Amino acid sequence: MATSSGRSLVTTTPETRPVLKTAVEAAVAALREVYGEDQVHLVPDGQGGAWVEICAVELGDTYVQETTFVIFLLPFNLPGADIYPVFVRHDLARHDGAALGEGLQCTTLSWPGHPPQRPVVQISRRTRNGAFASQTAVQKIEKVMEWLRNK
Amino acid sequence: MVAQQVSLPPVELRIAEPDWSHLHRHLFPGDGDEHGAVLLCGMATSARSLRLLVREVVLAQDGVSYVPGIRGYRQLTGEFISHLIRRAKDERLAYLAVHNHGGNGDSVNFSRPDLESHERGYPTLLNLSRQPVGGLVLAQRAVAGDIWLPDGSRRPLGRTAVIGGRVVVLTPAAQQTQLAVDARYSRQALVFGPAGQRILGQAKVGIVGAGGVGMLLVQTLARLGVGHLVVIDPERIDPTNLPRLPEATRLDAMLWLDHNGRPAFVRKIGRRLAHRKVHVACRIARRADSSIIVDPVAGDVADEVTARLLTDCDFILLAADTMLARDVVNQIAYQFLIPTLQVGSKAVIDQASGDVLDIFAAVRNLGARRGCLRCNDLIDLKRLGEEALGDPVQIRNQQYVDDPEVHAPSVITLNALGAGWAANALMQYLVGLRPLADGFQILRTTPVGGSHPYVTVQEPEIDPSCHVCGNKPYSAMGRGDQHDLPTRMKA
Repeated sequence: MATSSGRSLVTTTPETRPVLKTAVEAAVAALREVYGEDQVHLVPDGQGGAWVEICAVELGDTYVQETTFVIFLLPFNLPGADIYPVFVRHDLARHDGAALGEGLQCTTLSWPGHPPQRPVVQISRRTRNGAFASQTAVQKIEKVMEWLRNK
Repeated sequence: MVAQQVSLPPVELRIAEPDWSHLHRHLFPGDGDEHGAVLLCGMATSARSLRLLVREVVLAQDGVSYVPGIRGYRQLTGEFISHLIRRAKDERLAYLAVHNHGGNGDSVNFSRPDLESHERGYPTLLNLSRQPVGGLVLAQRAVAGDIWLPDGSRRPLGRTAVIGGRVVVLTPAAQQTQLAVDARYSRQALVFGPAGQRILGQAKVGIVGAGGVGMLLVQTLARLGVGHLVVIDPERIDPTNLPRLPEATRLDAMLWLDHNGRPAFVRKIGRRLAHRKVHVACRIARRADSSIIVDPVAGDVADEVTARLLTDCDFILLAADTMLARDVVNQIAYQFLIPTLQVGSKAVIDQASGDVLDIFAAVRNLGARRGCLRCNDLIDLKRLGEEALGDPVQIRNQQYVDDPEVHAPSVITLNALGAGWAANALMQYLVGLRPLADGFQILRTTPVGGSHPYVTVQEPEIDPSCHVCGNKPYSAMGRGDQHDLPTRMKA
């Protein structure tokens, strides 16, 4: 489109080719090293980030269920963004029958994975002080799961 | 080696002022002797220039790593060079060896032994690092460079820009040209001279956001005589924009289609036919100066391909209010060593009573010194996460509560306060009249209380571990093209 200056109007409508940013690729590689290649599934978000599903992560003694999936988004703007929130199985229940409590809530995950609308429990644990760059994705997920196990 | 071709863009070295002072003090301690150092640099390549961005200054200690030479007067030791060339390779940085000459201080060039040593050593270093290598020689007020590139070309350094509060440009020899001023600019050239007007005419300025503040900046800078503007905004003109956008018309907003009396589908058509903000910005700039170059970019600076259009600018004005835009431009300022001003205005209103609690404009200096928007918690991380997520359904599911349809209050007079302040700072900086202010400046037309003066200067916090402007290995500072921006990568 020509403009009044005679120069073309630059439109930057993005393509939808799925690509991952360098920091996201590095985070995925580290997660696969820790949790196992076949346990970490990836769904690119089409923006350079990726949704990650880790299968069968142990829940410890607090909960009726032994394991859960763990789903989270590695956003395209890593390492300058938090990995937040984290989602686990929707039927999560405590052995003592108490409510799941603060920081945990039932919701629906709308994501590009399967099924597209998935009932989940959302874990709301933010990284404080913007200290993302010095924390890896593995450390963040381990920290959240440790908090869940000890809750 | 191939001789320099005329069509190749000039090579420019960009160095932050604290790094420049550190280097200069080491080379010119007052003993009149020769000293050495190495610069590790990121790179930014564009059709306009090849920029070498100083990320780290490594001083060579006299008698330890800078020793009497075998063929020349002094030389860097093999161990020192070997260590740094390995780092340059691993971190994909250019390697530049630096030494100083004496003389009158206003001009400098390599000696014959210097050039012979380059020819003996640089092909090997180039082969080892696969990154640009080269030599710089400094006088007190001049810099010359001999840059060897992996494509086999050998290029002289065109100029060195010291990025700090005050703009300093150094070349191998002082340039004295008789300049004539276009009669249109004769009044303002009385303030900053023909040379200042020429600098403005050669400047490329990025303006991110063509809204209430950005459009005023476009108008002002075009009339000032800035030669090249890159204006970025994804939106079209909305009827509610008209009170704040200079020269925007009812037709630009398709007001005859998009108003309350029309059915919803007609209003929707009106909104789709409304002119893009960057199109109006282009028209404004051309009316002010028919010779100006304007790149109107109808895109989101949070997209990779759009953001990269800013990386060869001389100055950036950030007048967009999304957190993604702030975050991306904040990082460009430091990653590419580009002086940047973030400009905004705000009215703080009590939601319950509707009382106006505060009104101010803010102008924040980025890029030229450490202490960025990230260090100062000026990126709302919750909103950043929401904007990066993109999916409105999931945003609701995650219980973000902000309503995207609720617009922030905005008034043209208040926008003009920030825009005028920033445009003045840019003008004075580029022409060398005044340095950029060190701190973040908060401007009020009428102080709200006794504790608020008209201009409040906030000293920015500096976080050494900041991933944008910090001094850790993972920081983006001076990395140039080799480092990802926090952008969507879809193209």
